[in-house]
Amino acid sequence: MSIKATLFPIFMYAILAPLPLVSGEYYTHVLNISFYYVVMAASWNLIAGYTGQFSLAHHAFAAMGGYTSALLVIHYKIPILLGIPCGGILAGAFGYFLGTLCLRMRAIYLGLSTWAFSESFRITLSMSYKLTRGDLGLSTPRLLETAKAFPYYYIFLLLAIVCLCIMYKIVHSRIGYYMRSIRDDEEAALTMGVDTVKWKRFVFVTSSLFAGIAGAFHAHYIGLLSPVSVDFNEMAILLIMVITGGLRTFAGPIIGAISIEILSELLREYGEIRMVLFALMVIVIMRVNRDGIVGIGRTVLPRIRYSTTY
Amino acid sequence: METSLADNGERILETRDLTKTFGGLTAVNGLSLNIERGEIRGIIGPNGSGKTTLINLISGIYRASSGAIYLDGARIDRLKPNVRTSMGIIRTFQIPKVFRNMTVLENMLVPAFSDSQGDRYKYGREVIQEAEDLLRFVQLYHMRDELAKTLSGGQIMLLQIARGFIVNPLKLYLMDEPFAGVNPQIKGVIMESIKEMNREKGVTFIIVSHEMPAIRRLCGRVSVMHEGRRIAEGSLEEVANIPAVIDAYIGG
Repeated sequence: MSIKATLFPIFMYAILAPLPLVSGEYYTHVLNISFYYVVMAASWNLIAGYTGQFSLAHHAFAAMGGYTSALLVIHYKIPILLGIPCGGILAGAFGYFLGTLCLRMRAIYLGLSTWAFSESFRITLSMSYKLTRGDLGLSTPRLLETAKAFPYYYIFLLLAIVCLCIMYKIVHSRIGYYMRSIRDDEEAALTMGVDTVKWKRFVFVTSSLFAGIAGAFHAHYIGLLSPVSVDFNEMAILLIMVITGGLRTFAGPIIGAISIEILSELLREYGEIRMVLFALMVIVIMRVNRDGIVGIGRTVLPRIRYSTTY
Repeated sequence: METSLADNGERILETRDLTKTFGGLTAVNGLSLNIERGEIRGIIGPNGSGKTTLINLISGIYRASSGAIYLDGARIDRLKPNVRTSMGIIRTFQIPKVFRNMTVLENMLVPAFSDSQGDRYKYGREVIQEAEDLLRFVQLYHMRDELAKTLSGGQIMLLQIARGFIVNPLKLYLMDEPFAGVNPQIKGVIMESIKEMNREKGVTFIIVSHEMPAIRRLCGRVSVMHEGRRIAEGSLEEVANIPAVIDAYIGG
């Protein structure tokens, strides 16, 4: 790795570190949540944007990570920092399972099966009352002593930067070539020597692992878990973020997650009508420029070439 | 691995009683074919005679209903397509399949960096050099940073063909209608590249085509297929005079 590539994340951390000093307690919390969504959106983009597997179970993997970690911490008294990776690993294992089931499915069928998977997971959570406290919600131990947003800001910023660095490395390695070739034409990829089964599984596992870890951090920050987090609305918001920012681009989910989360807070007083607004936005973007904000940027500034933004 | 008794080292590919059925339809019917190392074999026949199915069977897209396929004496008909690629079989599709949202150069690098090539990706710079040389060879170098979907139909065919040449080892190149829908200039480039790769690197070709002039210039031997069977074999001039072949084309 070049010096520039090593320094860039450190530089970003340093630039963003003083932000809570001006944003105030409430908007620091909003930023924390938006960093969580950055990890979720970017890892969903790995599977949907880069590999073309339109999975609708990403929010379920986050909840799986959260519940796993919380239950292990509550019942077995293991440290939270050990519970979080356990949550990630279980989500990754289920990612392997779901990915294997969906190997031969394409487009709408994959979407439907993964959606069915997440719905069954949500219902199972509701019904396993004794373990998860069902719809009452499970109060989760917090990672830090305090519930204040300020110290968590540095944890979520670090989490987002570390996850993005790993994802950047994956996408810009030979695995990135495999992923994009599978997306564009799976049969051609296979005849070009790409082990499509292996790499589709790999992407399912990796993206679920990221979701599980992010979900666990989120649960230990908010302090509450409930089956509502597996509601389809959660998945819809991820979809809106990635499509608004730019599906198939690296910067897209980052821009999308932060802007949609902040916009969503600014429009909080309008309630659910926000979703209608976002839906309209998605329709307009699909009509105007499929690559979202990044795509529009490419058109406006021709200097931003495809090769530097994929 | 089971080996062919008939292997004498000169035969690169052998199909033995190869059959593929789809429901009630027998697309390839007990086909036995021998391809010599270093030849450019033409496969001709009327539409629906099973030519593309044969390509799909050899490349591994389809699994044979019965019969066997041997590459260099080793049985390959149960291997996955990507494993066959690693053994040196590459193919093109009649309707070209390129990675539309990747650049022309990236399209070239997918097979070079794929699982079939071991740890060749470690020599990234050299591989990119090789890909660029191949793009120059097929006159696509100026398009290397453009997305493949912006290419013309003929250029997409060229890219599809050039992409296969980067695979190493490359023993057998299967081409399904490489001249369909391309202009004469690009047709010339494709023919030149086939001849060059055959002469310089000893690559064996199997070419399915309806373009008789191209087949005549490239192929020493052609096999004629009809209703899933091989009905004739020899030079194009020889087979053109066989009554069964004339019947198959005119219908009788």
